[in-house]
Amino acid sequence: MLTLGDADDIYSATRDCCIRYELVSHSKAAEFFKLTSQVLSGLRDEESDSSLKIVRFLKRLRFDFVAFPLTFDHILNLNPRGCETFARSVKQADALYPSIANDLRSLAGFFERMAIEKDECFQQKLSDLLNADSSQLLVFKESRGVQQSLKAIRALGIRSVEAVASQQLRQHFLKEGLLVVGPTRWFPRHIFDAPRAASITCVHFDCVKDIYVPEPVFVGAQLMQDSRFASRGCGPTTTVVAPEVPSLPEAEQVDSEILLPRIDWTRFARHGVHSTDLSELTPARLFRLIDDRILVLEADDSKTHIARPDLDKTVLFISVDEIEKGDFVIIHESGERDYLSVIANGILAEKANGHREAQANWKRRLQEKVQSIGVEESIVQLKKMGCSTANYQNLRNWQSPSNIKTRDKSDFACLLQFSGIENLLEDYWKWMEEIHRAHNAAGRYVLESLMKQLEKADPHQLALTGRLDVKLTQAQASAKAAVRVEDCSPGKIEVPRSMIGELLEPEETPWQS
Amino acid sequence: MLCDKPKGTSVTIRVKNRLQQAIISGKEMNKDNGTVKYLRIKPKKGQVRLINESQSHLVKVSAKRTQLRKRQVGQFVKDNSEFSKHFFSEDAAEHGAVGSSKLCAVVGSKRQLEHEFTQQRFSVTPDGGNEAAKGVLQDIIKVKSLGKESEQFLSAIFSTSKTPTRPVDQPSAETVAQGTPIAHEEFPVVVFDGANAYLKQNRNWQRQNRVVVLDRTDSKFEDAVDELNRQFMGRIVETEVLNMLEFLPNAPAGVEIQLSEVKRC
Repeated sequence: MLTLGDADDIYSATRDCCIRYELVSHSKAAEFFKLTSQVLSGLRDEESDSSLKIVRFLKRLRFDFVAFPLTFDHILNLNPRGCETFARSVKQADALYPSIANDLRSLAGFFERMAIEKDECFQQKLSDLLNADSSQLLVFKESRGVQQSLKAIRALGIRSVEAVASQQLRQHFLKEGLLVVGPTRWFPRHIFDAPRAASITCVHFDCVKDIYVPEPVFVGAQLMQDSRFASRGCGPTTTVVAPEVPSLPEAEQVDSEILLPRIDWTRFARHGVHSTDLSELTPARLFRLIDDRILVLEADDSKTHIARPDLDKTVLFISVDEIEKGDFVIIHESGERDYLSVIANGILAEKANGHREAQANWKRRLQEKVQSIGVEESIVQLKKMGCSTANYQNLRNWQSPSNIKTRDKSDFACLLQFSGIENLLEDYWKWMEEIHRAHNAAGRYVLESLMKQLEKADPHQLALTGRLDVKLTQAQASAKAAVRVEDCSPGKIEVPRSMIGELLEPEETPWQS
Repeated sequence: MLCDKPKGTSVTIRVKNRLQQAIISGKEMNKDNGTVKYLRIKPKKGQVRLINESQSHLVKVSAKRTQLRKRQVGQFVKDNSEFSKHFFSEDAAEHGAVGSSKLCAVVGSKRQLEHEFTQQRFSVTPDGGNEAAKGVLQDIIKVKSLGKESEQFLSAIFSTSKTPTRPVDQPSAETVAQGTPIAHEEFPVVVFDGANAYLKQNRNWQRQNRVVVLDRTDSKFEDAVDELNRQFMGRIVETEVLNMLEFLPNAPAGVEIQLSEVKRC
């Protein structure tokens, strides 16, 4: 927990923080951006799977090129599958994209030349800066290429270089200097408005347009002519020193905001829905993880375990609707996806099979009845039977395999009566309660396991890599990991129920053009 | 009859086969028919007993006068710390010592606030004084849940994650025993500690004067600023508010303060 003394130390050390720019001149950077922009413009109106994959590859490549101090061949190696996809598209360019076929081939040839040249200007610049002041820490926008970048810099003779994640710059953290790799607009403003170092140096290509301006956040200061009257304070105290080497003319620069990879969530919703049967659709939230995969979780009453290492290593069991950027969610790498059910079945032991069959049976009967008379009529009939909680949302939840039982026995009795199996009420209610208790016990086990493993994890590595391999011994033969959420869909998206819990590969996600 | 005897009548009461001296300290009446439901019997030692008609044979009027304990057992009024006396004027500090009132609600992470209010030490040097008085924020703001049951309070902490409780119209014996929940509407001022507290709980405190404290490094800082700016754009009366601003201290470097009056709900 940050104490007042810590805050005072940070404030005293950084109130006169100064930001400097160190621009890197790369002989081919401007041409690289120009050629990729041409192809992306040509693909703007394309909606096919292959075109979306090319868009994604090129945007990711542009971002990686600016975000990581690596030679171009190493940049390509960060995304080998994307390179293969691109190469295939170039071969089929005449057939698939005749209007931009030549541009695609030029671009491919350009990539080959850049890969051969292995221009090390970016890491050399960082190496020079670290030589001048070895106490500085590197700050990267993403974790993906951090290890390779550190390796490349160490290969130039800087052995003691270390990196820090931007999330760590919220807590009790104070350094002499930071080297921010990439334009300032990529990073959370607090890195510059409430700095954790006495000096910050921003390093990026001179063809990227970027400037940080310390300004007040409150409208009151900006709107009123006389700023005494609506607000006090003049905003951040950080000062900015203009770059020594003048950057390229504005016409030759590319806006740093355009380079940021952003998923087109609305297009994803259109692109990801394959089912024509509307009753199969369910509201979900989508989360882009640290490795660019997309996790699909059911929204509306659904809960899952998350970890918040930044907040004193808290582990919570919260609603999917409350998951935020920076939270660590549990994903399955292999084995059974529904780890809670696996653990709960272990707790139920020999009763598990019978109880799960009963669970599946009443849900199947309910679904059949609902499908035969329709949702509206089902709700009417259930209400007449005395089920006060019958509504569209609850009826959908009751049919879901992840739902175990109703809260009240009387509502459960109505459901079984509606489904024609009221004679099984006592046994089924007892068994569903046992499943429910087993799930609660499974949840407690997962919570305790996560907390113990989080306690042992190196917080610095966790923040940097955004990943923790999790061992749940009771979830046999299944590998889990807690992975950081980098981005969330802004609202709920209707997806086929079969997609719930899926981990979508990066190539399957459309990006904003 | 026993029930006709006045308060203070000396009696003996048989408790576990032992006779104890006691006095009649009161009666509880039946609301329906006005008859006596219970007699309150206060022995010299032990707790007050409620005796109904069927138990009345255990109590007899005593010829011997019963003297209650001479030693008073009461609640000490906590002396105000030097810290709060130096922070406030002496009169203001004394008011806080002898009477509870609901002045300020604080919404935030309970664990974090408790740590800040009770563990972080401060010192105040009075004008013209040499010696600094040391203390913690709890000495000044007197949060109910952080003090003892018998101590006075001025503030209460409300958790970010929970909806604040409604006033309890008819508190049951259990509620009174545990401490009646404080109705959040009774506080004139609320302080939101952090963006999360403000964004989650602002709608529950629309009738209060609100102070929002934001940390630039908070992950929801920008969302909270957007909401405050939106409210600012919908502000009303300016003159009185602007006058109030002149009494605020200058903000330290890097800190911004915005003040506005919004329409009362």
